[in-house]
Amino acid sequence: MTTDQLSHKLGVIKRIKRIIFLISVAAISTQLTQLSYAQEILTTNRATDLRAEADDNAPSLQALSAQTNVTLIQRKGAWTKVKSDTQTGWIKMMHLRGAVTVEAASAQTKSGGFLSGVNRFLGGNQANNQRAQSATLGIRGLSPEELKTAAPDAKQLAAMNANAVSKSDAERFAKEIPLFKTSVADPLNADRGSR
Amino acid sequence: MNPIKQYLFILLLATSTAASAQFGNFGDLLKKGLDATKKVTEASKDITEGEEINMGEGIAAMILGASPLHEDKNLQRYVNRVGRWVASQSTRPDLPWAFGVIDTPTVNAFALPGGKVFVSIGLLKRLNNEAELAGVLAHEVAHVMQKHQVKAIQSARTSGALQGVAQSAASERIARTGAGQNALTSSLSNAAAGEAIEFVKNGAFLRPLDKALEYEADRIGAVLAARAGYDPYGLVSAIQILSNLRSEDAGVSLLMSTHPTPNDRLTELEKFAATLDKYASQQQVEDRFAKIMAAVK
Repeated sequence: MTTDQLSHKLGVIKRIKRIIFLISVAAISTQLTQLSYAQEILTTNRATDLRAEADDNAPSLQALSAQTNVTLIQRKGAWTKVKSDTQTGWIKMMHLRGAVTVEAASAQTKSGGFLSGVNRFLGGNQANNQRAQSATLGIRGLSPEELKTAAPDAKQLAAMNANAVSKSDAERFAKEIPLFKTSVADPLNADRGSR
Repeated sequence: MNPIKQYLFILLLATSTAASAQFGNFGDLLKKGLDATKKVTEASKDITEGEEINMGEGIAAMILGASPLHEDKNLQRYVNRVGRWVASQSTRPDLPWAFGVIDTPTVNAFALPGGKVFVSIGLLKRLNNEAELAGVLAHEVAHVMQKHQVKAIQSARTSGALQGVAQSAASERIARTGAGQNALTSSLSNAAAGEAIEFVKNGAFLRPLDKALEYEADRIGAVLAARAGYDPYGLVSAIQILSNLRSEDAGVSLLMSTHPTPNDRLTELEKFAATLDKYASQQQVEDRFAKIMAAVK
């Protein structure tokens, strides 16, 4: 190999290295964009493994005990990419729960919040109120203040109906990705016979 | 009485008795009287699909009076397309489905009878991709598909039968609740419409559904999202996001205190992990979602 050939090869390698560097920068930028909307802390709800890949058979990087806090990086199918205190890897999404408890909110209502007031209005007694708190709502979270100022708005309703799209419009929209219609059985067959 | 007021009045009667039925352990009472069951079955035939749709229109008008639509037309159209595509995979694909993004920072999504579905901009802004949105909308579509709200209203139409059962079963609690309900309806029968709206203003639409119905909507929602070609873990992800909201966040307190906890919902959904895993490699659709959301003011 002549000196010229060698320096040419070195030049090529340099260029390749530069391209790899630029790709890495681009990849990191993308990663940062993802991080910007998902800086969440999650907690393991059981002892689990932090794995090198989003795969049950991937090597374990770290054994995590239950109630370990991790920082969310990305979600992908059944897996969540997270950062532990020392490592970055993948954990099954179902092995993670929110790190924030909602006990404070529940306690607030038990001491007589808006909903218990409604229950009293409907003739429910104290025991029934407690029962209702374990139940759920058809409409929830619209604040009492917003409801108190409500008057039927036919114009807004017309606008909402005007925004509706047809089945064929939705199909065209699905094809853009494309999203494929898939045959999926309800595991409890609740909709069997009604299709 | 104009149609909207008429339906609000019907709903008012329905919700008041539905709530009473719920408090009185309706299920147990039914088992105690075959006659009553028969009456319930007959009464449940009364609400036609047309009535169901009109009820939804009436309630939607009220909700929109409280919380108007977000002004971004592209966003509205986008959410309608995602929602209609998901609803097309349900057993009720031909309802007049209409999806509305309401302009409130509260974290909400809810369904009304007949195919009206609302999602708040506060919730949308917390989501990361279209699969998560599809999961949220699919949960609501499942409520409509399974007629959860309609069934609550139908059970209210059996109020006469209900009180009969209460007496024969000597259920003191139901009798007391039933009496309360009579007083309520008779006081409204005069200036019904005006008082109906007043009733709405007092939050009577916050009618309780059984916890099991929320879990059912989660399970069927995941199935519908997968049928539509989305990664069904989008719904799991959305619930996990809810599980991380702080109670002091705007509008979350009521949602959290009146629902199964997001963590309980995740635990229930995990029972169907085999189904979820099978379709986990389907689309998440990040780019189209990000583009729409980036343009939202």
